[in-house]
Amino acid sequence: MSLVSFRDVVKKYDTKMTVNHLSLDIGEGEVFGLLGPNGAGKSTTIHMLSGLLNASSGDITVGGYSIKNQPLEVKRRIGLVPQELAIYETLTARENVTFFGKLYGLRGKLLQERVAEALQFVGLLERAGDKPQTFSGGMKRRLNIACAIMHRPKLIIMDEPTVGIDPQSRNHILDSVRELNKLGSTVIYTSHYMEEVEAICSRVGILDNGKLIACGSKEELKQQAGQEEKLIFEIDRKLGQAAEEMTRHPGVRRIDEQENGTTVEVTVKESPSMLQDLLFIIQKHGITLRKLTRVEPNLESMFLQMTGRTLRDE
Amino acid sequence: MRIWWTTAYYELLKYSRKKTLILILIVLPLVLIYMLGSAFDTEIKPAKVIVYNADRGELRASVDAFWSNDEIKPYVRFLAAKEEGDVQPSVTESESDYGVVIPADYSSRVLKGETVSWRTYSGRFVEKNLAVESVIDSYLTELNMQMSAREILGPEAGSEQEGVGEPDAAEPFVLVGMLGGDKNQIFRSVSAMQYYAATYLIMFLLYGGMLAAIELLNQHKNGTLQRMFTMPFSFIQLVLGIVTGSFLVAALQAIIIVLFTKFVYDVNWGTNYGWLFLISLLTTAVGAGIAIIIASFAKTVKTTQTVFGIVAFSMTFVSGGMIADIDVIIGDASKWTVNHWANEGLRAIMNGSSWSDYSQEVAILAMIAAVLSVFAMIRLPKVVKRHA
Repeated sequence: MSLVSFRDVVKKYDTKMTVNHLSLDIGEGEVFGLLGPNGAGKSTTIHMLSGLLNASSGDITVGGYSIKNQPLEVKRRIGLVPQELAIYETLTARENVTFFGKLYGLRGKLLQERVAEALQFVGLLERAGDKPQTFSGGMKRRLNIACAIMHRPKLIIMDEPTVGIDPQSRNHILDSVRELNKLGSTVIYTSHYMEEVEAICSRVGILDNGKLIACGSKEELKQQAGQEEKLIFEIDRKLGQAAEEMTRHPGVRRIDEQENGTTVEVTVKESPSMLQDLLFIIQKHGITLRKLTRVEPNLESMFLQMTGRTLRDE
Repeated sequence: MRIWWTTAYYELLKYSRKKTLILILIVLPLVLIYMLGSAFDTEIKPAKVIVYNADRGELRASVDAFWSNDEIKPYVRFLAAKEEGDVQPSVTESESDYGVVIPADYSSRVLKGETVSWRTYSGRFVEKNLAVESVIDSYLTELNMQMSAREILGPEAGSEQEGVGEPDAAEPFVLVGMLGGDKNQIFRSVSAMQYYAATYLIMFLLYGGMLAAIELLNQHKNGTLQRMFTMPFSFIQLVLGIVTGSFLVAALQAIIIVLFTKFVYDVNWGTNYGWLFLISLLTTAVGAGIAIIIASFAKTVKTTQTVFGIVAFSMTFVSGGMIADIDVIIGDASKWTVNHWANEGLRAIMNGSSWSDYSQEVAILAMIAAVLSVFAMIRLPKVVKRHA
């Protein structure tokens, strides 16, 4: 059952189309990664979803409520973790979270409980009385998250939440996302870091020039991209005749011999079904296999194949 | 209302943590008021004069009456010494500003027609010494003149016996003036301290109003405003809360400046505190209006602060905030400033004028505030636009 639906959403600035007829469903309980280089339309999409921008046409619904017609109902169901550190440096961590909690209408004991819960969740309860001025970048990012989750939203939108922080805080944030998801929240996560998206997202959407060019699980994306895998054989001597035989195999795309021919990189369409055949050929020609490495395609390579650019291209 | 007051309360909390801001908005005007008010203050505070009257003769009563005369009270506060030996130490130790010992033979010498003088001890304040000496000199000079006339022309030329030794109290003992004109010509009907207290209250209230625009720009820049736009309430309440926060700071600023100057600098603010508050509120609204309009074009905190600073300082200068008699040079140009109408209103309140005397100034100030507020409301979306 989908929690978020984009229906033919367009955002235009003068003649430039920043989001180009986007249609997308995000199911309840998903961790959905939104990928794309700078200017792809990720932030515009998120800003339209959270009510910061109006779509030029089309509509977005959250839990069945339209952002266009029932914005307050949509806003009640979301928590935005903005890319900027949207916290007050002169208020303590507890005061920051309490302030946003009060704006969400929480009061009294419930407010106190939720504030403590949110600070505990991001690992800042012990520093609750300190001002963010004394925090590291990672701690500020975690406080930024606490302010967005303390009202227990159904949908949490995280816009590049790990920019410029230490590995320890990054791991803490990634664990928090998994935990939030386990607790029932749906998460939309944007990042430049492929490994983060691969690690936590159940589905990924790739945006380029405002268009959703691919969407699905990692396996589905691989199929959509027609991605190839690599098998790296380390052998005791050159392939010789075996190379010709391998090349004739319909599943093999390319063979690259390196380091005096003792390291061979074979590009194949699908490794599991191919591996048996290739090992048989090697064995038949009396070649001894020392080491075999299978290199699966990652999101970075899929993105490169689909767009011709890397994610960090400006 | 809940969002409005929650935002306003937290704004106030945030401002209370900004020490530099408090220093600029509250301490700086108090320092400026003191410096300029003291520098231009021509008012002589009454000198504490310790007097020992050793004379037990028939003129003792008239001398005592002289020291308690209402005419000299603005310049002299009489303190009676128990013993002659108390006078000099009291002045040396600054317990008194001036000391006088009236000799035991004072009455007899006067009645014999001899020239008389009192033993005096000057204190450390030159202007107070001068004031007391003027009072004493004028008393003794007239007394000696009476005695001289009586000596030369006979008893009938002076006065009756009972009038001897009692100079004419109808003549003022001291006249205070300023080189270049009377003080009232420059500071009009108020003292220098009152003049600068009003001027700098108004100037810094304008700056207080500017806080609203600066806070909106800052929150837009650091993303907190955007975060709040994604929350389920009307952003008008939120913006009003932020603006209200700055108005509360300005109100506190006005209360502290007025009370501090009243009780520490002895500034007379008159009795009509309701109108004083209204003028302060309108001035803050004007400041906020101007700052929001500037911010809607400038877009950055730095530019807004610079441009607003130039506007506020220029208006203060043209309205006589730095040079009190600037209207001699620029004529009626000050009437084109907000400060002029606010200052005139405050000075009228200080003078104890009836409300009808300053209602025109307040009405003009209210009109300016209303017009600027309307323009600010029109331009406000440019400052608080939802999308970065």
